[in-house]
Amino acid sequence: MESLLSITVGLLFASAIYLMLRRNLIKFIFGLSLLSNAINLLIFSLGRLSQGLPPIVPEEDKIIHGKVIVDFANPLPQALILTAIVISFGFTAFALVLLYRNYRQRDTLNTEKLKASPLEEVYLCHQGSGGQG
Amino acid sequence: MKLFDSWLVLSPILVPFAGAALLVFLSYYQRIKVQQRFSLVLSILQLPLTLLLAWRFSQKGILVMQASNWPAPFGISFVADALSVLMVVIVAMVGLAVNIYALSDIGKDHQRFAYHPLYQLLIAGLNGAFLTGDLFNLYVWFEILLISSFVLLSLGNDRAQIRGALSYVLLNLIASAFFLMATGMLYGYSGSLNLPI
Repeated sequence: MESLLSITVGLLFASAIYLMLRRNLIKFIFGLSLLSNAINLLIFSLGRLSQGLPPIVPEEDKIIHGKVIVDFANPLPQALILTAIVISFGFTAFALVLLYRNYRQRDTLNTEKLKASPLEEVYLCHQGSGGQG
Repeated sequence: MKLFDSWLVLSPILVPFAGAALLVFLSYYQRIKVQQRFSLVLSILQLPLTLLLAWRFSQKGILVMQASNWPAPFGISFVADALSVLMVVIVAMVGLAVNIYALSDIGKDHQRFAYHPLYQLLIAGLNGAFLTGDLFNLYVWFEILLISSFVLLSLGNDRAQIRGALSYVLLNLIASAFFLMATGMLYGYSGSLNLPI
């Protein structure tokens, strides 16, 4: 189970980095969301995998069906992943809106065509609007 | 006294956070003067609170706040040690100075819309990042700090602003993804996310 998960995480990382190295900003965002999913799976597998065990066992319920439960599933990685999913969802939404604004202003998603530095951009803005900027 | 200390440790986070929530409602009515004064009051209020925290720290040593009294490795804790007390006092001082400066420098349109709540949220995230005693909580406070700085950067929808905010946002998203990965790996190796352990 661990090896299967680690191969999946590796594949997700590889495709995320491939997508992030493209020159299209939409592909960059897709790569970023793949990367956060890969990291979520990584945290999940780092919290020790187990099957069919209850997460929290009270002291008086330690004996179920005549068996003493000594092992239990780790609930913490799932709490961490839930938080991370919510945060990455919010960030992806914000980045998409920013990308859309940028697209509306420049009609391009190609990073090659966005090369002007912010300072240069301020200068160009001031030139274009007759110093009003 | 222990309860008082717990609230004192939390106060540099709670005051700007609650203030930001109220400022969101105030910004709905788009009145600049009210927002400015309220934001200024919040920034001024933080200075005596953090100084009181520093005084308690010099009296009693490291102050710890455990959320709902769960013991240390299981619960979420906020810790005020020498470094975090120092940083929180610096944040309160610099934050007040920036707030006074921003009254004249930030454009009226930005102030009317969402500048003040976002600024208070930024301060809350910063104080939380300094005071937390839990690595994953550090990540969460960092994200609060980042998202408010993203919006502050792109507020106004200028061409140059959006271009600058785009590269800032994308680089920060990669960096915080790697921070999260490191947090997960540290948890896998040590079995705990508590910073003092």
